[in-house]
Amino acid sequence: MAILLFTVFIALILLRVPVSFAIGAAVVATFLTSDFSTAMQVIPQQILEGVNKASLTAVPFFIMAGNLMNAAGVTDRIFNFANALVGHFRAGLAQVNVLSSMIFAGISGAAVADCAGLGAIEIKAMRERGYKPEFAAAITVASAVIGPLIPPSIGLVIYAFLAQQSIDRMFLAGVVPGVLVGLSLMLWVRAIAIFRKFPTQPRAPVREVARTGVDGFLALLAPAIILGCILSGFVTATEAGVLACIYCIGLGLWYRELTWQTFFKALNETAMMTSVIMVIIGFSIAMGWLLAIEQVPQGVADWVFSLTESRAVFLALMMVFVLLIGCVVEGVPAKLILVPTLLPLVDLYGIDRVHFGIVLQLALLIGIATPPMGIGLYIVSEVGRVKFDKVALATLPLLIPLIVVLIMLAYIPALSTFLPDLILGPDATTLR
Amino acid sequence: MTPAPRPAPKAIAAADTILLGIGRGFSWLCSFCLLAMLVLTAATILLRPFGLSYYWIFPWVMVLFVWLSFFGFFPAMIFGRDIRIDFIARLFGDTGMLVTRIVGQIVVLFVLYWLLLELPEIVVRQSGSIDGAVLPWGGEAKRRILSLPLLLSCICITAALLVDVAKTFLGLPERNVDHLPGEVGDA
Repeated sequence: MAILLFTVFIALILLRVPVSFAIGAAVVATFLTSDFSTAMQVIPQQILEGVNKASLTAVPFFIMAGNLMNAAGVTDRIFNFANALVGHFRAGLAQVNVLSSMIFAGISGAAVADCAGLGAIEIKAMRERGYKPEFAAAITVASAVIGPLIPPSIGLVIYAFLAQQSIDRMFLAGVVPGVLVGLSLMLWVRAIAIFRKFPTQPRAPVREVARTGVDGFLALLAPAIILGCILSGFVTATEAGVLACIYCIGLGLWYRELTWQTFFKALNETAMMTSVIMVIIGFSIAMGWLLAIEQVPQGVADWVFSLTESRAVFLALMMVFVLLIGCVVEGVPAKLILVPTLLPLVDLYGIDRVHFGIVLQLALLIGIATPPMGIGLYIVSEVGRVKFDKVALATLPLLIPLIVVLIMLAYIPALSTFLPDLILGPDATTLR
Repeated sequence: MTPAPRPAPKAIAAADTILLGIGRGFSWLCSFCLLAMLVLTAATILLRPFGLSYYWIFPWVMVLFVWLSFFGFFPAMIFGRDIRIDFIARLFGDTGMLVTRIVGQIVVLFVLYWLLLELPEIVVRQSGSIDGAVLPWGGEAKRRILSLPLLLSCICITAALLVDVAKTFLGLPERNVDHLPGEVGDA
């Protein structure tokens, strides 16, 4: 049954069928060939139930915060500040690109907003300074991976919902890995700058750093406000998303860059993106119901456990598997299918669910920078006017630091669990 | 002189225009739902320090969230915002695009057939109320208001699909083939 389900799903998405309908068709086909052929009403019921979940209401607000940042001119200010701060380093604008993504990640929860918003500014600036367009696009998509790791993160909200973990714990767990990814990319760029001649720029005067810092100060405060409000218990994750949106609207008005037109465009973009995600979630919940009823996750767990009892080997196999899945399936549907299937295994091997969530998140995020389904690659090739294959090729070396961090995260659980355990206390419900 | 358009394409163009208009309307409805969610949740946060809270806010935020999700289903499809993988079809040029277009139509119609077969009955059976979703004129909103947008979107997608099938037979191009392969929030 599981083979039919996954074969139909993969075959259909490769045949240009919309992902939601590919899942839907796989579920319907499996229902019709199983003992549940007379219980087809379960499918729409599960879709309706799957969408009607309070913890998922945070999703649109974190998408909206990213869109509003771009509409409100916050993105330009972040870039200017990062440029004044690290622009004089070797391969300065590439370093600026990474640092900007780290700052942007503190408000936005989506890599798409980073690629489309910051990417447009960064690639243009790098081209003008003489960087190869494909390298500019490649570093943009590689650094966009940071966005959904550093809180807030839409992917982590969805994982928390699927793995029954608290959102604030998942958010805290993403901080160190997000910073590590950023630092690894900066180090990598610095290393390749030894062999490649990148354009240089003079150190910005202190006055310039101070000016851009003051200009971007309010934007830089946002991550602290969002995370602080959640951790203090003053607001829920959804409310923190709303606060982020209100803050971005306030900044847009303060900077006099947000107009009714740009506001409604951001609103509409967010509504469409949310709907696409939620419909996929709805169909995936129906798929999850079928998998659970047929005890597929348990079957997979027993089979894998019969192959190896080593946690280290399992983690290695899991990383390769998820990286390959991430190449062909987009993050949200991949997570919706993988999490319920892999969780019994995660528990069986005694892996912390928070730790697993972060490893899974990064492994799937690397997929945005890998062909053929790398969404980030398509976006930066579009906004940067660079050929897709050239960007894909230029991105390959930049995957090395990302994969190194992924391996570190997999084998050093404390990198993910230290901060949430320190601030929130150890999670008694999670197996270790 | 250019020949006058044949009646069939004219009728299809009219149907297309109507569906695009409905799609735009649904899209505006989604934006309104999101805006209302934002305002209501912001009000909850702002009123909290004053010890004020309204128990009906959260249930309505959930209703709006479900509406946003399902009303957006149709515009997301018709405006090409859904996630599709094009690269294999493009490898085979026009033939690949045509074959996958037909496969896509068959698959989507297959799923919609089953949804539309079951959904009306589910809508009728949902006679209970949504706890806390009070109405201005008294009483609570019925649960069926949650599933109606899904039913409406499925009907509209079916109509749009049938128009697209007719276009395929007439050799007319499909609407959204140059969109990015996906623009979703997780990534």
